[in-house]
Amino acid sequence: MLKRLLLGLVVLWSGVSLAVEARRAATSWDARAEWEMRPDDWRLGSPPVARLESCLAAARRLVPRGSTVAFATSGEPPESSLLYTRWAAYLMPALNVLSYGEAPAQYVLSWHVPLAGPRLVGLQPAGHLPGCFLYKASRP
Amino acid sequence: MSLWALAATAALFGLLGLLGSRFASRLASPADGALYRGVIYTMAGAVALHLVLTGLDFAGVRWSLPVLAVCGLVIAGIAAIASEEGEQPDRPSRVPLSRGGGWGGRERGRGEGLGRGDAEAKLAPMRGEGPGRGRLGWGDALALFALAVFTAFALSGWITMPDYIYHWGLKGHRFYLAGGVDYRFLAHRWSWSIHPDYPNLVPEMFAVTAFLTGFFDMPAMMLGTTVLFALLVAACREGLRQGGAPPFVQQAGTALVALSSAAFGIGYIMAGAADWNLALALAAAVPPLFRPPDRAGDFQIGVIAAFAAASKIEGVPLAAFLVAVQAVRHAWAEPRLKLRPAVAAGLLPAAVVLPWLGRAAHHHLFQPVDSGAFKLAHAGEIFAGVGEALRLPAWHGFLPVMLLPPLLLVLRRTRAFATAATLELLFYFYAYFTSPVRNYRYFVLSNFPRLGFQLVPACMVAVLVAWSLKKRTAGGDPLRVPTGRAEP
Repeated sequence: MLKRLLLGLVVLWSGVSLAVEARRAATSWDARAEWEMRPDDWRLGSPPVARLESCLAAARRLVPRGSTVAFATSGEPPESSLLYTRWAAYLMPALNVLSYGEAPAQYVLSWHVPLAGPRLVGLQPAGHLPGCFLYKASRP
Repeated sequence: MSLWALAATAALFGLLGLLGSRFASRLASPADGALYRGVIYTMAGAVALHLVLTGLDFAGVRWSLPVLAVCGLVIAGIAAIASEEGEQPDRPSRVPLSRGGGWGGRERGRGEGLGRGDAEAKLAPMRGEGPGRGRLGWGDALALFALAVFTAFALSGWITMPDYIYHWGLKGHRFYLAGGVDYRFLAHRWSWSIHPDYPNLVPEMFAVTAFLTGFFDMPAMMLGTTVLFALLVAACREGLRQGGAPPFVQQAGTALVALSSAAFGIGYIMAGAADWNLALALAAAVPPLFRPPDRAGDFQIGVIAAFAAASKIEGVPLAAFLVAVQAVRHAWAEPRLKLRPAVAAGLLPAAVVLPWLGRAAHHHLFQPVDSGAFKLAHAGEIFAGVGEALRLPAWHGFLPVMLLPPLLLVLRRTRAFATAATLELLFYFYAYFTSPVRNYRYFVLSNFPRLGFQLVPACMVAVLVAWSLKKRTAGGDPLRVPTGRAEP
């Protein structure tokens, strides 16, 4: 009987755990419009991802499938830059997306900030897109 | 969200189950319930799909629905021919097993594998009391509730795992667009961060779902996780039943696995993760490892090991451990060493692992970060990370269950499972001690909670079975198989 009771309590605890996590998830889902997090905490449907999506949707129309696109995030630490790149790659699967500076690319997408100085060498502006700047390499 | 895409996911798993069921004559044990048979058939179908896709890649044939349909028909035909040569599957028994199993079942008589012809008679003394397998109880209802809650969040995309974005989902979409495993993409030097060397079953399933749908739909991929979750719960339920747990423990255990997995899956955002595959593999291995080693169990272990090896890189050692444990159980139980059980259990995993190794080596996909020298000096950082991970709020105190397999080695019933689980646990630590990373504490914290998820559900089942075993043994020892001779 005692064992049954103990096991019943453990099951009850797991039920409480689910209730807690479900409530937490529902609360954050309801408040997703305010989910302004660092890239390691981005979620599908959150505002930072929506902003990135609108940039990339415009880029997809200008960049041919199969092209190589370097994603530049000025002022971000390398770990964050990599995550921006990974999200961009997921959202543009028909393109080869890599981090800026990792390898020569046919296009460069600069997030929020236009490229300047030596980073512009060999690049031609190809469009000011929502939240980002697109450049085409003159010699990829 | 597209209902058509969701239906395509459901159809894919249904078709995989149907394809796997063509091998029923090899895969079905008379001890198995209908739900568990569905689990094994689906896993077998997934392994068959993976082998077909791998074969098409080798042949340079682009993946498409017509090609896959033809391959499916060919496999079903081969299975039919093989079935005619073999025996017919046994009718599922109506009552649960409550005896036998464990390491080797030597006490049941030497060389006494459970062949199918007289399996019913041989299993008869092993059955105990319990509900019929068709009856749904309160634990099943709670499990369905947990599954529904998880599904609602998973389909929203809000609990999609970052690794789905970073590599699993991306690879699936790339494979769909390329009509095959996109080795050119994987081999780019900037692809190091997407684990190009990992086995490909998970993205292949995403790609084939997209082929069925006609487009790549995120909620449809998340529904795949829900199906894996359902299969995981069904496998755990069967493990409790075949382990001989009393009806209350069976129901409580089913509910416990489902509720705690759903809580962790939501709290740690696990939709779209490949860890569900390995959790399913280990849970599905529980019933054949609880039974005395038998022919159906060999094939089941083969399918489960192949599924694990095709899913994730840590599934490869898990596959090796499962096959080795099953082979050693045979050697332990039988007077003469027989090659056949090891071949039955090891052939499919080998068919999965060897092409993967070959392709990954050919395209130079293995990464320098995969392994390094064993450095004991990192023990402090690693165990600090483990200590922190064990207290992770999303686990609500359940994660330490993953550390219990070494304790389960002392009981005969749970010894085979505990051996495989302990070896896998040791492999995790081996990987930590040999990974060349900068911050070990952070490294451990970033993956130990979900590696633990691969073990926790199955460990919960084994712990509950061991718990019940002790209780029932104390009351007249009904669990001991009457052999008429002294046990070792």
